[in-house]
Amino acid sequence: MKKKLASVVMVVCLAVCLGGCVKVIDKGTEAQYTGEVAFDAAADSSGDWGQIAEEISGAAQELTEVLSGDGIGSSTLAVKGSGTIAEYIEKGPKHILRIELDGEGGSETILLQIGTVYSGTALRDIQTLKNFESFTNQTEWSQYAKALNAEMHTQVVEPLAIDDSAVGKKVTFTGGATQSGTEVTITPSSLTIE
Amino acid sequence: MKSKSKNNNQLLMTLLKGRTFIVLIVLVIFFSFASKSFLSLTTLTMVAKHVALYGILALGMTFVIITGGIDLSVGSVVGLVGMLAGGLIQEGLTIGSKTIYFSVPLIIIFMLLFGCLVGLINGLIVTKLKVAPFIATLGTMYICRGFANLRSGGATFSNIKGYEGLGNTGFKVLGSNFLGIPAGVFIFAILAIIAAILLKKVPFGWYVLAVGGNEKSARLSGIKADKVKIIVYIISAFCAAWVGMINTAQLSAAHPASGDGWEMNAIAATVLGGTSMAGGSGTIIGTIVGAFVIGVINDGMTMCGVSEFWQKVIRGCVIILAVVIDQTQRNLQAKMALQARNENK
Repeated sequence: MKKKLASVVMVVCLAVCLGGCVKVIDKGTEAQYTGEVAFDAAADSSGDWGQIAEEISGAAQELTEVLSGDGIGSSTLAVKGSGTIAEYIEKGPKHILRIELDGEGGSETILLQIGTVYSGTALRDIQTLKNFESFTNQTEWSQYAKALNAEMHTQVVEPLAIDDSAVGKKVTFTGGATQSGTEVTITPSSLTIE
Repeated sequence: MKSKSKNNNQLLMTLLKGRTFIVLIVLVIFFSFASKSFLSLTTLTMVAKHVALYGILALGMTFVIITGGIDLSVGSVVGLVGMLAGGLIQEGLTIGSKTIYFSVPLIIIFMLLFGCLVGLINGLIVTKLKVAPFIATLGTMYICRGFANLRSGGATFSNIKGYEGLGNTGFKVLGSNFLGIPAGVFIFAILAIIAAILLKKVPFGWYVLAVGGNEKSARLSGIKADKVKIIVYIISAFCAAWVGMINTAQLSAAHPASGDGWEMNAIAATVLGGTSMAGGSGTIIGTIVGAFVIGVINDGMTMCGVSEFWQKVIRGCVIILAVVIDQTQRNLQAKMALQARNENK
């Protein structure tokens, strides 16, 4: 009997103690308690996209000139150019256009990403609107890059409904370029196909 | 002639018994010459932090190894506990439309209980399913690491600080310094004292030694060997849970890969401390010195610019050497005991 009583007292004490140790709130209302607004990569990138596209357009260098000069190297550059679509490449969800540049372009292979999945963080890396310090951590910084690519896809690539019939057509692009060996990969920020 | 040989053996025996401590002194002297800043307060605090982490893991590992077992899951438990604790602080526990945030003391209790649960599972697999400890804990090692990654999809919980409004601040206390000494060192000291008492002054400790020495005899003398084995795995995972929380608090971040390979440091510290891999013998003081040796080797080599790859090679050699010396000591002990018996006859 004494043991049972002691157990009941212990359980009551524990419940009272735990009552002060637990806070139950409605899901998604954390900001009211922390004063911090939850990070929303999609909303951030959507709001920033107009300015970023404008910035890249203003900073873009002619790709043919870059390639005939020092090249892109290990950096990420804002570039622009025009050429002819030579090949429509499908690598699972990654669709890519191989482009033959107008004018002297050197021996590099020019690949233009058209999604739906994009590799790399070129768009984020060439913009100056936000930097790593604007985010709480590496994860948010990475999510922002992905969200920018997704926003660009919705705004720039998707409306063009590009398929393999685009081969042979004329393309004009602006975007972020990276180079690996002789392969130059471009993530577009603006694109026209005629 | 016989007396001279006996004296030599006794001298060798004394040196062998104190080998880890001698190695520790030699290492400290070596690294203090090799790196000018090794004996600085900052470096010593850093070494103490690391020694505490490996040391706490090694305390639990000592009990397991004395019973003739091994616990490979401790490193993964470190990672998983860190992720669970970090997740509970950052995101709480969501059930339906409600999110529950727990206070830090409660989170610490939950994590320790969770560690005990993992240890219980290890113990039950080893004793009831008769799976070899190496395989059983290898399995739980992968399971825990998998769950650690699943908790956040491989991402890090960073800037773990809690919020006043949610009543979950204070976790960083486990990673703070008091009087210039890391909190982990105090926890290591307290756990080491408890472990030493448990192993030498309490019947449970004698049962652990008996089960490791000769399990059949222990069973025949009425010791519940299975129960003892289950408890040692619980102790080991309990220690790993502490390390998981201390490590997360020190970094203010939890990463799913945290603690990867730390089980090897714990095993190395235990073996260097003189605990026999065959079971049946071992001391907590030896394990503490072993943890210091591992900590000093790791941090000393890093300060001297030795590459991570070479560090692994050297650590491996140290472990093999420790086991060889341990074996030599046992052979010498047997030889001396035989000599003593012959002389008595």
